[in-house]
Amino acid sequence: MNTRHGPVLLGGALLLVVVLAGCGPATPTPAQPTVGAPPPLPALQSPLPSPTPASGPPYPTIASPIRLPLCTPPPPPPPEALQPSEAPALEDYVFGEPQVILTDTAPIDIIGWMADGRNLLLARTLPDRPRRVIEALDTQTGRIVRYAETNLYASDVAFPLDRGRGVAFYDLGEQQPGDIVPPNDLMASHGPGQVQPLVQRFSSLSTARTMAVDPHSASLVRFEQAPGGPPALPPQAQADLRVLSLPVDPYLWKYPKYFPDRVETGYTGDEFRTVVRPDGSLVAFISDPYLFIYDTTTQTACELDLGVAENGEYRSAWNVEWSPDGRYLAMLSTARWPGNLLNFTDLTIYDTLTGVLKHANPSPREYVTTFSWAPDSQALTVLGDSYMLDGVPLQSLYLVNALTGDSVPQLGDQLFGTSGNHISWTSDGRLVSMGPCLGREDDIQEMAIEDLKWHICLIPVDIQNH
Amino acid sequence: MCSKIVGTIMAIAASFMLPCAVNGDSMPPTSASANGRLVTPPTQVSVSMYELNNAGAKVVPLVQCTNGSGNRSTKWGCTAYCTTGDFQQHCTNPLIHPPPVPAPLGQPGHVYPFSTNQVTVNIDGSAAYNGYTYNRYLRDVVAQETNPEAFHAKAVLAQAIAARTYAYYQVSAANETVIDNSASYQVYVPFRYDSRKRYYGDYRPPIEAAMQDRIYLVPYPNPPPYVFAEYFADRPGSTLSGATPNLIAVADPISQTGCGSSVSGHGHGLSQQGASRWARGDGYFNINSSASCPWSVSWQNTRQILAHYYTNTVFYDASGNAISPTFWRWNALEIRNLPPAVVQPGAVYTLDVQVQNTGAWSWTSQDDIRLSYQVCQGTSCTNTSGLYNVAMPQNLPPGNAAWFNGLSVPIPANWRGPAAIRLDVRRGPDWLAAGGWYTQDILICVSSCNPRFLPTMRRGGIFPDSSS
Repeated sequence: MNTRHGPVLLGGALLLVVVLAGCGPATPTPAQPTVGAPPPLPALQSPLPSPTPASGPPYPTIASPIRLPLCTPPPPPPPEALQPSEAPALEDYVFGEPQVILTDTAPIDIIGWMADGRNLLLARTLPDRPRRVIEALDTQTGRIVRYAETNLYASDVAFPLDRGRGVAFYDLGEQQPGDIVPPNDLMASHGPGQVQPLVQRFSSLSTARTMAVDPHSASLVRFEQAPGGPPALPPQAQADLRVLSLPVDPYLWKYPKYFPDRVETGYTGDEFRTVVRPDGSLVAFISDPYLFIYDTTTQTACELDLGVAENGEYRSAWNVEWSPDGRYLAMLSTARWPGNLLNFTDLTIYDTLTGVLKHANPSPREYVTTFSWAPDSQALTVLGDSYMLDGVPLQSLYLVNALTGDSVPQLGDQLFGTSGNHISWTSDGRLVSMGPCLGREDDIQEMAIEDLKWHICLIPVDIQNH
Repeated sequence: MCSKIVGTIMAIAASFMLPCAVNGDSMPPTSASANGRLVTPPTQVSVSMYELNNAGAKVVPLVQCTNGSGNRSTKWGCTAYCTTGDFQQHCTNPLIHPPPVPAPLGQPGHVYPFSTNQVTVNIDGSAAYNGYTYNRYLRDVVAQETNPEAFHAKAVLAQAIAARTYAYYQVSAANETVIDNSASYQVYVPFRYDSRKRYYGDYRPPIEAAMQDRIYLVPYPNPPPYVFAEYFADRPGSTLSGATPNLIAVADPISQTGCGSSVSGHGHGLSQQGASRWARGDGYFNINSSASCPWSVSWQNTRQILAHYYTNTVFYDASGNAISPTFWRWNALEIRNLPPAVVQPGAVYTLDVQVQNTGAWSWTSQDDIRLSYQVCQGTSCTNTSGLYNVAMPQNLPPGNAAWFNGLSVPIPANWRGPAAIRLDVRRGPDWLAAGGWYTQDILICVSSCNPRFLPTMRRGGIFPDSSS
């Protein structure tokens, strides 16, 4: 263990110096202009009866966009920083037989491991009521502790709080006059009966465009220069979340890409998600098709250009996650006109040490659907469509080398589902939880697709030669 | 400004109209019939509804849009106004696209709008709501399977005709009385049509317009009564042969890997992106694309697109009448040695043209098929009898294409100003345009023109639609 982590930590120290240059040439902190009142809208020409807004759009416009510089590669690092000598090869990872630990006919989603590496947080849909329950499953005893119960129609994002203190999740808040949809409240539970609100009306536009949650780091990123500013946080939110207040309004960074005259596509991908680097030095801002990286040390930002795919469309990313050591930024990406079905999804990995972008797509059908970093930051587990059965895609597991983008299949005859699939490594790298596990290929082919159930399974992992 | 240019083009186009001639095309012996029975198109379709992934496939394990206990899904596939799920970039933001009706009573937001699963919905339905009802299958399908913000309007119409024909086929097929809402059939997401209304513009009118003609495709010469009108996203070079004689592989040279084309989908029938390319005359399908790969040909009518991708077909209107012409049609796929936009009086241009037989009958040597031209300015045209021409180099079954090389086109020495080279195929003495099909026009400027005409002097020619 020590020999495997030593070079990584050394590399991490180098990173702290080198990667800060990853945001390109030092640029002065951009002055953030204030956004004035939205311009009047043209009269709507509609043959159909529908509500007509009485005022301007209820979201910020790009009155004064700020064009950020493109991120540029940092100076070349010393060769020894690029390839830790002790990094395991893909072939060194040995995945054991999946063991089913929970089965249900209704959807089960994996939220993630609690800090003890023993309790697995799950979200289960109740079959008879519009409710979802968040539970911790003790994977050694099978004991289940219910942390919270939420409205089924609330956003299904949930994440473990830092240091095993519980779970954060969304629940439906009170719908007020003027709300087109009920808002989501961000809640936390520290155990049975210990549910508290962290940020109320989080999904309302007045709040959603002033802050964002990063489930991977249990962080709350506040956009201090957003119009109106983010709302004050209750002490509980300060205690439960890692709060970063940044002097930015990222919506001003957008500039027309899909359309010549606007930045909004009208889909939920317009709203920024943030992903905080483990050491807090960099924050990625993601909004279709933009990816900006903000350096909290120099208070500068740059655009990481994902380029244009073979089909001529802009690449866009979602489900973005830093490697545990902070060197890589991995993401699912695609390229399509907004709203169109996706022709492909792949894994894109940005190396902050070299500035290199790599695309990996081990899926035979070119649809990668989820990924998770191994704790050593050298490899990622990936699920991708492998073949179709009765018109639905089934998935296989792959292991991808973060540095090279090379991949190898794992658990060759085991197939996995596409509904809410999730992979989560324990922090010691010994165990991977997977869902939904479907079983062996031969067994599945003998079943009706309608009979497949939700199975959560554990996969033991051994790293040979280390 | 724009309408003025269009008006000018229309005037030029009208002046180039060919004189009518008797054409050998005739109506099929029966309308959409099976075993001699007149078939009335279905009006409803039964659909099983599932949550979908970002490629339009059903998620696994399957999740129905309602679970039988009154719970309705908020995920994509069940509603376009989805609020949950792993991939939310398809989800319509209701604050930007205000839903046309309130959320159903007792439901938080615009969840799956039906209380049952499966559902029976009207294929056409109405653009107007009657309470909280959703009887508009095709509108939601077309709004998802194409996109008026990215695809040319003719491609949207081609998509609507293909989707309608596909639905008719599935409802009529003996073993497919129930379909589902996934890409296994056609992606049907409730509210998708409504989500085309936004603060920045209303993109429903192009879809609404595409709904109106209610044209569909019938195979010739044999039943079943509707074409199995499969379609797919994209494929460079050519399509692939499918399960029926209407789905043979056809050359699709406008779809090129270097110009944004990539393999996406099964490759049978209509290429969605290819359709937009042919309508644009550009290798990039997206009307917003800043990049360009100009192609030597663009097509002026949606039926040219559909006849290209679906072989051995007859177009039928909503009343069940075949639309002429049925048997004798052609498309130009590519023109080499195109003249420049400004040509010199008296010059001779020798064109090579790749011609596809898009009709329902084979072309053989007995048909005396030839490629010819007229050069027209105002009401004056040269070579009106088609005396100068190039003979068909080989027999061409429906769907097949061949190069007709060496068509010499002289430009009259005494002409000046805007003119057009109008290419057409002759069968014996008859121009196919006389039967109602389309010529391939190359707009030119002889010697010099008013600058306002020059933007229209694009390769392949762009003429206004006389019909879409």
